[in-house]
Amino acid sequence: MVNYLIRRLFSMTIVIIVSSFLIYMMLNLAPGGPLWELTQAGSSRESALTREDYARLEKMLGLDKPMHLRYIIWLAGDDWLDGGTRKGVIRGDWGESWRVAQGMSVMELISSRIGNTIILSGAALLLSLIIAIPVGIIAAVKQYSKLDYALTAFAFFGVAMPVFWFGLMLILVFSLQFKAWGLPALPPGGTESLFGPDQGSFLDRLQHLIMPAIVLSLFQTASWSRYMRSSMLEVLKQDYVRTARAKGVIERLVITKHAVRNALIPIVTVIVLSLPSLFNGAVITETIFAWNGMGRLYINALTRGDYPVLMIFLLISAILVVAANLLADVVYTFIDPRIRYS
Amino acid sequence: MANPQDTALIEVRGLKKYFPITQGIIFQRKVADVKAVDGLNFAIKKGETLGLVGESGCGKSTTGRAILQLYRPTAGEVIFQGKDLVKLQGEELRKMRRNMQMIFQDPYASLNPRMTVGDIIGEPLEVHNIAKGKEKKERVQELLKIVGLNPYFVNRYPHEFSGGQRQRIGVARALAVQPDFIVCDEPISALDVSIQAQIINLLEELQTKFNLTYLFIAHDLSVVRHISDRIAVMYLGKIVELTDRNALYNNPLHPYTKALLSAVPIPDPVVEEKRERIILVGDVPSPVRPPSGCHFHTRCPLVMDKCKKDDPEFRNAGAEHWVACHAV
Repeated sequence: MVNYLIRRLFSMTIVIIVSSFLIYMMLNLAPGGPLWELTQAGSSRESALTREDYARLEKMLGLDKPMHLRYIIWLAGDDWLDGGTRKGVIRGDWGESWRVAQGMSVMELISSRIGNTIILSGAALLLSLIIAIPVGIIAAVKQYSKLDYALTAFAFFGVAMPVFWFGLMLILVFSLQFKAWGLPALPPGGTESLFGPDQGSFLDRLQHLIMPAIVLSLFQTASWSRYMRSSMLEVLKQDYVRTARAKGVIERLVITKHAVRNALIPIVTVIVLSLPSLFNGAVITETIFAWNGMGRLYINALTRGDYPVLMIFLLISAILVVAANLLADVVYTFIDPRIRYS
Repeated sequence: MANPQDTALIEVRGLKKYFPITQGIIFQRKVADVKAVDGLNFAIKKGETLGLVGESGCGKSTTGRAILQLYRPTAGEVIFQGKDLVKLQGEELRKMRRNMQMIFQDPYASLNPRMTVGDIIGEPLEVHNIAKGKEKKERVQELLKIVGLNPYFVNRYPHEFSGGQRQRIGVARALAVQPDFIVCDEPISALDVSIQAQIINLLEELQTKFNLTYLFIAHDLSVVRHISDRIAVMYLGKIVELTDRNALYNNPLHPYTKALLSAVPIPDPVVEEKRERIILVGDVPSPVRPPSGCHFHTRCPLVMDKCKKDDPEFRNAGAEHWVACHAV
């Protein structure tokens, strides 16, 4: 197992370095970029910006150097070159934001957002788990019953429903209409109230969390419940489930102890591989509900060419995806005694 | 019908198991039945082994499962220890499982891969409130010893064992609750020939030791001859012949039995040379639409007009030799 982990960590490092290089190149080669806005006709600064100004800005951001050199400086810093001050990402220097929050360190920027994202994505993840697993089990045990068809219909609804529309409809009904009808309404957006007596209290935050968490979890809940159902159907057909019945095990235990425990094995992979969303956040849901999380930060940085922020975001995402894969493989050894690594 | 004697441990009367075939996209309607088991009558005496033979798909395994109520029969009675198992529900039926167990065909698929051997064998002890904790562990180790496995294997998982060892685990599991009756559903078909003999010997040994009654399902005629006291031959959901072992092998009455026995190779080149095989023509008809009259008439060398119309009665042809054939 230790040898296996060492081998995996080694290959993971290579994968991450290669992907960081590819990400860097793709971002820099893509049209647009941090100075693009300034060069467009109609921009307020276009008239005032001379060629010299532009060159000066490029030099300031380090965009005047060749691309491969920029990548090396980003990765390893330039304090070993003449006049360099940067230490590079591998020595913990994440740089400063260029445009989203000019001058703010990327580390600070991300840590100001990550909390909100963990709350929202975590709540959605938990909600999905709590609903999808039992729904899948029930649908499989009662295969082809009316209940199964109803749950299947729900799953198709959840998978097919566009997040932006569903989010807006919830806001329309539970925030606007409920308020108009004089019913207790949910806040339409934000992570907490901006003013009021219980601004920032647990209850206040919870109220803000309900709708975005439901919207974000809908797709996951629906698809996971289908995975669980089919995995469960597969297991229920197995001989050892019949063995359990022949032993005289109570039906409830046949389902939970013998069937569910085996049916969960493939589901665990799906769940573990979704864990990076705790960092990545959700662009659409966060945008609709004005949730100040990582998803919004990412889309902001992307549209405005804020390379330092984008690079750290994408690098950490890549690391988390690779790590989640390793975690899934390791978790397997605990839940499936047939799997051993060496 | 089949000698319901006082000593019968289990008695099967008119047992039927039909599997519905449904059609339709939204509204499923039943269009036909697979008549897997179509009216069986027999009894098994205490301490004996009844062999059940027949081709693949003739309903042998379904019979075993329907007797133990792993499939609920479509019709019929299964009288076991004075109770009709078919009428028992839920908890009552579950408690009866303490007295009747099954050894499954596939030792690879029938053991839960996430449970240790100790849990697999110990679980029946727990669910039937026989033993718990330390007592359970001791009993499991004792069972492992009985079936010829190392008692230290309790914490191992099924995948760490070979096919023969796994089948021994299956046997130990079935024995755990000290049942009176065990259905052996082709317990050796998935094993190597060298291992088959070991398991057969083990089953025989255990029968004498614990006074077990077996329903032994198999398609290997020599094995069935070796282990059974009486043998029932099945064809397309029905028993066509039922008698004691020697009578069946020395004096088979039903043409299907004769054909089956003629297919067994004889391990003596001189005799084998002279062996006359009765080759049946055609395939086994579909159990969805079994032939009218005698199910065997489409392939029978002795077929008469009567066979196509009337289903032959399962009758005693003397000396408890039961057969269902117009030509006998």
